[in-house]
Amino acid sequence: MKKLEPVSSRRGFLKGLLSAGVAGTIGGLPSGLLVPQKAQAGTFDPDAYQIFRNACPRNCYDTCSIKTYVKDGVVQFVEGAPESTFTKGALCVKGYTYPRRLYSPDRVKYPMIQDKRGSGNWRRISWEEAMDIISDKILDIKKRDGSLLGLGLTKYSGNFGITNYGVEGMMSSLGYTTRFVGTPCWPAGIDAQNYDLGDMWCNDPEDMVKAKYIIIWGANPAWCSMHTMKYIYEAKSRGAKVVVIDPILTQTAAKADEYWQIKIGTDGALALGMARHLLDLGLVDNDFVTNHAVGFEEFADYLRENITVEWASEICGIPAENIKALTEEFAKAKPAAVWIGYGMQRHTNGGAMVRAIDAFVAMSGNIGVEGGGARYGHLRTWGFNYHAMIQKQPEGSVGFVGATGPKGEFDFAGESTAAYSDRAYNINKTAQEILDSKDPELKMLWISCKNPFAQDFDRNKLEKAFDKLEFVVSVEQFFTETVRHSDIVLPVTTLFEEWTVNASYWHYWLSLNEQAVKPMHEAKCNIEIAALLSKAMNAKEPGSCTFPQEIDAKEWMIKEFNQGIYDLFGINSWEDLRNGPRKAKLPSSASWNTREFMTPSKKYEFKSELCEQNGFNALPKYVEVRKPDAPFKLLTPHVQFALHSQFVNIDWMENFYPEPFVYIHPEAAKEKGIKDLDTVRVFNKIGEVVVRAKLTDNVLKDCAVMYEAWFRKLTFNVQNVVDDCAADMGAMKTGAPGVALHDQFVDIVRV
Amino acid sequence: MSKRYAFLVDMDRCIGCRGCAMACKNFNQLAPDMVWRQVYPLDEAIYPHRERAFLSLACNHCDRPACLEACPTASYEKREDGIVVHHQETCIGCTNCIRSCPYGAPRFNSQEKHAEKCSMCYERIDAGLLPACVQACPTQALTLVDLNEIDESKYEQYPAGYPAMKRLNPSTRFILPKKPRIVRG
Amino acid sequence: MNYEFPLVFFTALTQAAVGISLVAAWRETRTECIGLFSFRREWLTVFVLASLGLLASLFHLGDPKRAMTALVNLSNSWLSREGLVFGIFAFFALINIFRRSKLFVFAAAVFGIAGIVIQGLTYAPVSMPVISNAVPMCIFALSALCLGTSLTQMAEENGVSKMRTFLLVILVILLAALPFVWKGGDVLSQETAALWLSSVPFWGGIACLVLALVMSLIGRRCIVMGLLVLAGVILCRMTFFADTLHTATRIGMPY
Repeated sequence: MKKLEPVSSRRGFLKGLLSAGVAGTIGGLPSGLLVPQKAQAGTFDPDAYQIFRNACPRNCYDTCSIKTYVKDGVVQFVEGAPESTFTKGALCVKGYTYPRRLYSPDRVKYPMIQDKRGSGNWRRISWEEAMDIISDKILDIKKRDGSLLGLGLTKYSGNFGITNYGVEGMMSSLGYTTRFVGTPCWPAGIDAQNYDLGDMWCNDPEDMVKAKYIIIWGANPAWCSMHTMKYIYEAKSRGAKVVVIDPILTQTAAKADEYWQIKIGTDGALALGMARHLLDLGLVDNDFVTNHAVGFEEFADYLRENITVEWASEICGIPAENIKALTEEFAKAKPAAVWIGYGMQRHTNGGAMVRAIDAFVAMSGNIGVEGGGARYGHLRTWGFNYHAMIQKQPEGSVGFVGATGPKGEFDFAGESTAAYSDRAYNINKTAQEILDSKDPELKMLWISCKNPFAQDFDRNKLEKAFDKLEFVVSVEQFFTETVRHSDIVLPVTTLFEEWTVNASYWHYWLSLNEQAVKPMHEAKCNIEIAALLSKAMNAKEPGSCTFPQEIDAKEWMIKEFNQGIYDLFGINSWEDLRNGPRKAKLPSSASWNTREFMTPSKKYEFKSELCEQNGFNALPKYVEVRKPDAPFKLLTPHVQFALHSQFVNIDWMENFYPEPFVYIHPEAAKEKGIKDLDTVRVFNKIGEVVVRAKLTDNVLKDCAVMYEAWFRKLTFNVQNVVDDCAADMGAMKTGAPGVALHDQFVDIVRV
Repeated sequence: MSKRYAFLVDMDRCIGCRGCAMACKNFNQLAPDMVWRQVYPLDEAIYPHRERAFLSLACNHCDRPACLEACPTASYEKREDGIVVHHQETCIGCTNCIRSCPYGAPRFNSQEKHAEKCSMCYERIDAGLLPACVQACPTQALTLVDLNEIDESKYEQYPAGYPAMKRLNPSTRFILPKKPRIVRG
Repeated sequence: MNYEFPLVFFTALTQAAVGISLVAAWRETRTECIGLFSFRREWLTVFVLASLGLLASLFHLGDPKRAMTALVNLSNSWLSREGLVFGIFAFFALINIFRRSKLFVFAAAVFGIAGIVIQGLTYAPVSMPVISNAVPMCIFALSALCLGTSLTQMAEENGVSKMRTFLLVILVILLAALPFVWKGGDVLSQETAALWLSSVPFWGGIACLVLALVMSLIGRRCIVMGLLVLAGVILCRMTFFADTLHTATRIGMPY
């Protein structure tokens, strides 16, 4: 390497120059002014920091274990916990913004009241005043209705820290209320896997390295589960073939060996075509289908009578020879895995499509195999006490007299035998449920860990629905659109300011979330807010709220642990997690490794009577997708910069993702007279979005793609054009069917 | 022989997640509007699929840094191990380095009114740790290498979309992205 | 659009000052001129222009208070050298106001020429391939000479006037030809050409220079013409600084 003159000698030269007085015009100045100070390059010293353990509590496969470096009571920076082989020292682009979230000038800093909803006339009030107003309203509702069913809660995945189920607990502690239940996320697939296997239970993602063949079907881990990509790459480097099937040429597709651009909502047909070919070739795992499964013969008959590869090809747009070739390769590679993405089941036929893929994987003999599997998700590491959630209703509470109370995929409370229950409203039809609400009408809504105006469907209808509500309380960190539609906003803590514990629905690691710094401003965590409300309620009407009035958030975190959790993770105490996250001790990295299934028959059910009882086909038959009523099929999936409505509002993120776009195919754009970066109106019968267009053949000709996100400075909102049409399955395990948010149709014109 | 530290960008592994760039902001506590590392999508003329292959670039720690030659206050220092360090405290914000660097590595901090750039986290390297961006890469697409140790013939120095500045001899090395086989209807 | 006004005025004004000093030095060699002109006023003009230029350059700095530290890196940085040389140039101009001597006049001229050469190197960064060559130096030298020959009291003198007309022709041709030459180059050159050709200051500057050329040809009074040349140089300089593409603007795209 060519050595450059060291800096010091150049400085020496200059000093000489100066002392010789050559530099005429600058003579007379103190020469110290001219000599740069030597920069003292301090070495980074990790020991100079206090280390805290945190966990990313967002609704994400990866649920990263975070190591937080604190100095002088200030979070200096974060990194991925190196102890977790899954996180492996690296967070994602979102995770690295956390210090900025904590110290963002945009945060909701103290309780505030808005003089008129939407007016923007916010006034600061004290916590006592806020609780006084809220408790007055709750007591008023109880007095008017004789029950608290007029009080509703909508909460979902904004913060999956276990103690945050204390929000549900707070509602129970007040009485029987109305709950928005279900999930917009993954319910059709959950039910599908429950019909087939008896539970949703996936292999350890880290065992994907053992796979010889991987089909990533409707998932985009390069954006949505970045940490899994290293296992896929490792499998590839060990010789596995990776195929991505997706209507969008995603970032994951660009990293695959082969990418199939499939027509939207036709994955079921493709899977059935592949199943038929497996059958024709005699590549079915006979041991599995005879000894570990029921209904295979009937399924095989269905395939023979109704399905051909050519038929599947016609529907899904993939040439028959490719379908045949892939089927053969998949069947001959053992183990072979399919990753079933959540996007693929957000259709009116979503559950049916997942069942078809499950069936294909099962026939190939890859269920219960390390490195194999039909991978969707799991909740095997979520066996906490749900102490914060399980609260008793006050004596004499009156509720909803109905068959069953609300459910949710994270509801571990078990069956209740009480005479009354909460009233369950479908979370995927928030607007319609509010509009239709009667006897008693929903009057007050408590919103926590959720941003309905960014995430709930048919935004324009939601505006009308909120107009009907008398009182709205939002528990938030930022002034979102939902906060704009609220009367009171309460500042809630970030992960660094609260105690909780987090598990993943994908990997098998458990992470502690310690309070690393004192809460900023007047922020409080959800269970502290519940305690404050309880205090206000009991002061006015003793016994009206059973939630403890004084709580120690750390103690409450400890109460979530039990021996089952300790045994599963091989720890003696929660404090062991202070040394880093721990992974569940698994007898095998494969789910269903014993091939004992949890279905009624205890076998894999190609034919599910339960499914039939619930109004669907017993066999994983082909079901057509929703019919379009506009020229473009609209997909609104995730972008790597956002987790639903979170992160894109952080100014750091604006450096990398300042503006949303609608992505359309160049040929479709040409027909519409749209050029690259033109501003366009994306619209349908329920609303419109004005946004700039980018042209790319990453999307299908009849498809438009917009990535969901909430921008603090833009009105962009994909929910303007996404209606609340239901998916097929989901009601069994999550309380409400999913939503067909990828069966949406729009037209596009140049503005 | 001393080391010649360099970033190796494996574009075939890079998923364009921007984790490296954000990790840099997070560790170096950059001003809200400041970036030291940027991830540039490759134009379709270079990689056929739009926004699907990327150049993750910070400072290239050149052999003959244009910034060092441009800076009138001698605020740039080339260390023995190849790292080019900018000393913010002597910078007077003349922006001549920003004009001169072909890679846009130095940037102007409009609040502090000085230039600043990637230091390859030399404080971390000196402590035996990896630069923040390298540690943050979830796919090991961004790694730290010693040019004296690797077989340079295996890597690209001037991929398309990256200014070829032979006189400066930038240290960053690249592996080009591959394309998937595409099946469409 | 960032026109970099401090740099525009710094370069244009220092070039005007150097141009005038060169004409003055040339005059020193011609004894018949001695006594005909107010040398003091001329060197005062040189000093004021150079000082204003240096003052303007301070506005380019984030921290003007520490401007003097810009002289630290003489061994590496053309910018350091530029500051020093123009400082010395201004110093000799100042001396010539009060104690003009042939030695000091030629010293000023020599440092002035050095200043233009160094300026040509300073503003030819490797990051702007279309001007990372002798183009800036040529533009700067021609600008200095055009300004010098049109802003001095001697502008009406025959030899100077002919020289000025000739220099203006060359400057206009050079500036106007550049974007057309770049049009045949790589993508970055083509895009720079497009930016220059669509730049209002650029064409405004060319118009000023052409007008000055016409006035020079028909021998009109010089002060308006001198200001036209100055305006032309400043306008074209705005385009030079604002519309010359930097390689970093196209990373990820073909060059």
